[in-house]
Amino acid sequence: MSKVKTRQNVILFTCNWQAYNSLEAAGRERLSYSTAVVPIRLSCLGRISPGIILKAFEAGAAGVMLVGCPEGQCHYETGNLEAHKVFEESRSLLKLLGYDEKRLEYQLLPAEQGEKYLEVLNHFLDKVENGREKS
Amino acid sequence: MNKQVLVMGSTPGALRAAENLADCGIHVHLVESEPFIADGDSSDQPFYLRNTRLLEILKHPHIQTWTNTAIKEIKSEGDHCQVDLAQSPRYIDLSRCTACGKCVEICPVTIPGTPLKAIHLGGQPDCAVITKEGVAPCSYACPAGIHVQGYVALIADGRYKEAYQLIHDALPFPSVCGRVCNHYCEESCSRLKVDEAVNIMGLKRFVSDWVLEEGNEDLHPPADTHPLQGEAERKRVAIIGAGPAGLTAARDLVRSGYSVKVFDANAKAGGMMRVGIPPHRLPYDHLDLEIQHILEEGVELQLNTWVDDIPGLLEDGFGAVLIATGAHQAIKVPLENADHPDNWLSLDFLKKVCLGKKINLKGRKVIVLGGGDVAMDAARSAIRLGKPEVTIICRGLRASFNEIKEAEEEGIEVIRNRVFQKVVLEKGKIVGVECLEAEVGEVVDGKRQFTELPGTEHLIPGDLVIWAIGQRPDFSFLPEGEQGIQHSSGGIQADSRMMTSMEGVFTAGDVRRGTTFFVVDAVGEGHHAAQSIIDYLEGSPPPAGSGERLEVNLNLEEVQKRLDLRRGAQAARAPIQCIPVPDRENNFAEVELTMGEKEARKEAGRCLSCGPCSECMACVEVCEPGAIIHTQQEITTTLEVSELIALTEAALPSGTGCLIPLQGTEPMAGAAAMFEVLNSHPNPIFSDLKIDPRSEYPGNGTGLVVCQCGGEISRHLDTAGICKEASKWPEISHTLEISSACSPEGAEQIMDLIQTNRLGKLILAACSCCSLDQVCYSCTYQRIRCKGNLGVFSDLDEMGDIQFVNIREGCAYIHPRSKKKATQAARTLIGAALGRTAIPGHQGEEVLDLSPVTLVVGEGRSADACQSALSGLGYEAKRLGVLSGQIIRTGGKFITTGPDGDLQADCLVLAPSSGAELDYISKSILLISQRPILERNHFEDARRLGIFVCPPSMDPVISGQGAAGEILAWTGKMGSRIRQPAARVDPLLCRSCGTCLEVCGLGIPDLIEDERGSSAWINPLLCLDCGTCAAHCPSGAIRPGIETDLKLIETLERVLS
Repeated sequence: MSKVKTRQNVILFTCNWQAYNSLEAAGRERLSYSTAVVPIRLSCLGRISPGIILKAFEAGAAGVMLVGCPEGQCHYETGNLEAHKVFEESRSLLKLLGYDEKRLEYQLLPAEQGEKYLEVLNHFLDKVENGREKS
Repeated sequence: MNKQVLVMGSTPGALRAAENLADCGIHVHLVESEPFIADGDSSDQPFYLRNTRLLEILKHPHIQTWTNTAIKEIKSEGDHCQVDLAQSPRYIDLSRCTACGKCVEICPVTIPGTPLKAIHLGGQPDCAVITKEGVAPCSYACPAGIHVQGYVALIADGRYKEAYQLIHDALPFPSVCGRVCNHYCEESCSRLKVDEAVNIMGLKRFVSDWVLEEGNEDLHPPADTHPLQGEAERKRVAIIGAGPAGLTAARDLVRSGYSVKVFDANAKAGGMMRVGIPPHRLPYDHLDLEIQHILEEGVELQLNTWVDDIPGLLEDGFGAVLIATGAHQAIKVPLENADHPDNWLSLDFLKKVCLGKKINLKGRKVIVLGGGDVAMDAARSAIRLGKPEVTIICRGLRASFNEIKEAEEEGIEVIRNRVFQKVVLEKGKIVGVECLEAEVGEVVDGKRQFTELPGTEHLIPGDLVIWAIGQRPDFSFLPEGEQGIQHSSGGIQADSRMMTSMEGVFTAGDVRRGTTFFVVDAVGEGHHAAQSIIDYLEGSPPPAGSGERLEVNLNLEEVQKRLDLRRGAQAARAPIQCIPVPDRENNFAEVELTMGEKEARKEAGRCLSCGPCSECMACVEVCEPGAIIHTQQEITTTLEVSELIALTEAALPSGTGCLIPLQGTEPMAGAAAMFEVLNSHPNPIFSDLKIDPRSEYPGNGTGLVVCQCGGEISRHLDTAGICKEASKWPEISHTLEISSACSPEGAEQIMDLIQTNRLGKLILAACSCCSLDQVCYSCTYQRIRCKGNLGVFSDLDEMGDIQFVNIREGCAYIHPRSKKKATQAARTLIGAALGRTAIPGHQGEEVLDLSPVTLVVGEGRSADACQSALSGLGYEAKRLGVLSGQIIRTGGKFITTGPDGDLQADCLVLAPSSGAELDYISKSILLISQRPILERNHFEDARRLGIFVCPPSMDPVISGQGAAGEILAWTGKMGSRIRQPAARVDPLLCRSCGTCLEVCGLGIPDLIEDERGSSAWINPLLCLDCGTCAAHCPSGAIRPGIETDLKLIETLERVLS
């Protein structure tokens, strides 16, 4: 389990296809994750824009994680790659605005891998928490 | 047009044919002989993809799936066929099962030779199925209706209490029938074909001892007991006789809500079980306990009461009377000196023994006349009362083998083949019985014939004669005369409902049959009488011949096979053990011993699971949605279809005039068969496409429905608390907690909530996660069922905007050990959904032209076949033999240059002559970003873009026609996408920068010119609404169909506030 003790939520933008399937697999396997995590399902991770990411931080998100399908397996062909551009762009914007860039994460995860998903998620939650302790 | 086509089997080809026809608006019956449809695709496709494709088929509004179904007959009639289908019972309600798997866990039976339980899951539709070929012979043979194989299976699984409960549900006296039954079950056991029957009676004894001695008897009426409401409670039934028939009927009647009073002339209840069977065979402590359980269910008992005024009972307000007085009069034959006082009647003697009266026979010479079980009981009781000499004299022995063996062990002499002549007196005292020897003859009408041998007179000495040659009922209490109750030596006369000649008076058990039968027979009659009384009191007609049960009959080969396959089944039958003979002297201690636990489990493991389902009903107990129906019957139906598509190898009855054979198992073969159906179609295709714009919601309120998932969700999450809390939220106008959103009742409740309260929006917190008409990788049969019931996939827009929230895998399962956390997570997700509903959804779309132009590329012979097939149906098809440049995918079109200039098409057929050519063409289809669109050779995925491949390995005519079929289906599918959400461009905001053209991975956006100038345009029929273009549009001109910026922002603000 993550050490996040905050009430502040972590937004998990997850695409509808492989990424969400893995998150559900975690549920089917009865693997727990923190209640601070709020999954927001999108058709495709490509839907995400810097504006939406910044909005999440502005509204008080402790962290934002973007999860899409593995490379070459996007249901819409290139949404996950376009999202990576958005991720890079948003990271520099966050830095510019004085946010810890570690609070934004981008991951591509295959279907049916609940355990792997939670490993990545908990790792991110730890990073977010450590960053908060430092600041 | 109302064309229907039947597709047989579920090869990839058959499934493609079904799906394509359905996409063209033709109603398809997909018939599969197995309980699950499988795409038979052995390729290395991951599970989630195969599953998704199968669900697409199951959810298709134009496909009706018939699993477990065989074609019985096909009759050609002009231009159509009549097909008779027979659907074998699944024993599971497909509209209720949630595939939770509890039934599989609890099922004690493994199908011999497989790893599968008798109830199992295994594919789509993802609902359980019970493998039950019929009722096991043991269960079929039991007059009391016990699920015999079921309790044997439960014992083998170590579940003794459940086993006892299962027996007890049908038979109130398991302890009795574990000892004194004639076990019809063992006589019909399939193992008799190879060795000895399973010791079923011994198992019943074991389990009843285990439960009643271990103090585990917290029994309850079966789950399916449904007391009649209201009227029934006030209806009273009188039962005369507290024996097995009377008490069984009494229990059935109180369980159905009647008030029952039982009268008995004896001081103890139990009838022949209590005053006829001596304690060395049947100790009474367990029997008394089991009778006590019946009384605890509400049966009133009045002992020491001789009822002789039956009409008076009816006048006293009893709605019906049941006579179940048994056959308690032992008979004598009028031999010389048979009236001497030292002639005792067996049943009078046994009654004294059973009631513990002191009798001492020390020093006497007892002769017992008769060869049945009563004779054995009398003789073995007599020898326990001071160890007299005891001789049994009979013509033939009808008693059970064990009884005879044990009697002889105890020192009783058994003399057979004798006919009694007279009782001989000397000085006023009996000195013996004179007999004739008899010759054993044939069995005639079930009775063995004996011939007396004259001149063989001899005296068998004895000074006390006990008559045990038969029993009959006492009829002296019956009203006589024409208005009375008619009877004969064959018992009280009764009709098939067991009603006597007096209205409202019924009869059951030995008194009806005229002599003594076994306890199970009486129990069976008790059940029958109780049902007849209920029908009589409720005025229901007697049940028709429905519910016929089919008995399984395994042949020798099958028995041997199961014996070989099942571990531990080869063991020999466990014999019945007895206490040593010296320990039996002068006492009535029980002689036969019960099996040990280990021995019992081993013996139960000898069962070959004939059913294989044992009908132990454990699955029924655990199934919260109530999806298990053990009484389901075969359904037969007749379909009228214009064509029937099947693999030619498929075994079909003859006379298949409308058969279109599948020329292979590949999907393209299915598409070719589908093309053939459409090609022969006289009418225009797609004439019935519905393109009504999405209707507005009826009202304004927002409802929240929370599904308990039959306990799966509510076990981990406070569903009621969420409803209560949400009802205070300003955005929510109504809340409703339901047991199961994916059941028909659940859908009804939801629709009712919407309509009654004129709701505009609904949040459904269950397991479904999106309201889109699509099947994503996480989808399940239950989710599409739920969405289907709520009209998400229908052509009509009965429903408003539903936001689905998955609080099962998303909350309940994530925090299975913390209700607080799970509830907290659900609250957050519901909040997020509220954010999504805050902003109105997408708007209706304009109607677009649906006549695609096809470009056929390649040098394969399939190109000709494809082009002529399309042209024949009036579709424009262009040819390009050798591709010299690239094919650019943009604006939803394929654009390339041919020898005669530019070529533009909506669909692309690749018709290569070789694999190398296919490779070359595939690599040449590019997005404007120069990214190859078929980079990964995902030809399956490319179908949605209108790219179809004729595999060079296939017959060119089949693959060419198949490609034509694919284009027809694609056209149909696109047509039905008219209401699907898609991204839209606001031309006033668009700067024509072309960013959307670059980022769209499917090459759909286009730049168009109109009177307002240049702007981007996204074909709504093609757009899959991923939202990438909207994310990158620099001017904010693109609005996604579903996930608009406003919705996302609203959601974020809500969950982060």
